Amino acid sequence: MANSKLYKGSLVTIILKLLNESDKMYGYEITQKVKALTKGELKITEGALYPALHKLEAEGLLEVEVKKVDNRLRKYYKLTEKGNKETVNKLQELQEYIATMQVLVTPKLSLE
Amino acid sequence: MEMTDHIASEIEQLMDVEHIQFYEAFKLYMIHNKTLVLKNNKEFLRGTDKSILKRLWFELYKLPTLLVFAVVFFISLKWLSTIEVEDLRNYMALFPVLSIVPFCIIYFIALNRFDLPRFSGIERLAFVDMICFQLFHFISLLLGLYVQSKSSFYIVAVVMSVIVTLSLLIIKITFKIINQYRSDYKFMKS
Repeated sequence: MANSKLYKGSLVTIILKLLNESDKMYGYEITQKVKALTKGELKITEGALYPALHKLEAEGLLEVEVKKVDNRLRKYYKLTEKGNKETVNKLQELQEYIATMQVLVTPKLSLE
Repeated sequence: MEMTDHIASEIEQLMDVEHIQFYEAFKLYMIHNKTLVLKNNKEFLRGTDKSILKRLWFELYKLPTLLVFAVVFFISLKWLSTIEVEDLRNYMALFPVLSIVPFCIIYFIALNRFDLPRFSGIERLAFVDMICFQLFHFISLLLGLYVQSKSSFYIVAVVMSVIVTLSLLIIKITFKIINQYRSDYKFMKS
């Protein structure tokens, strides 16, 4: 499994991106989607996910809908207008970060 | 509510994938996740304690803290000049109480105000408070044996000032933690 510390700063971006691609998702669904897309490489724990979701909700980037499913209450998260705009910013930031890291870590080949 | 749904969904998936009954799935889930939960909990406690001690350390050197210490010292000296050495021992037993009672009052008000069964951030602060409480209790016992004349009352005044200043600092940090939690978790009922 990949080093989780490298992914720590990207959790918010991952959540926003997934919610941007879906109408709404609940917490467990987000963890399973990440696990499936990364083929088990990245597993988001409940201890990391739910505080991040709550913080995004407090910041107005997500809104919540509670539904009764199989005799229990389930909280669905979806992006607000502000959340949609922030998703674009966060993805842009991440792409710039990846480009910078690539410049730093890619070995420069020389013919000399 | 969310954790209940999360765990229930996980167990349902385990039951589907492994073709087992609820009890087996639940046992499997708990065996695997209890270790993770305990590990996360340990890290959370370590992180919280570190953050609290750091805050306390930085607050100690601020001007308001030093002013409070000086004011309490002079007030204590003034008060001590009015009592006899023999009566001091009776009052010393109350010194540690100066640190614990205000803190407990603030904690229960916070629980009531936010309608919570517990407040983990403040409970970790209570751990620091309890260490101080035991330390002051010990110092008060020693002072009771050492202080034989009014000339030693300066030491008693210093101890009282330290107790009151630290207690006020702990209460200040408690309020800061409450405000921080309220800001981070705005969705909570207040």
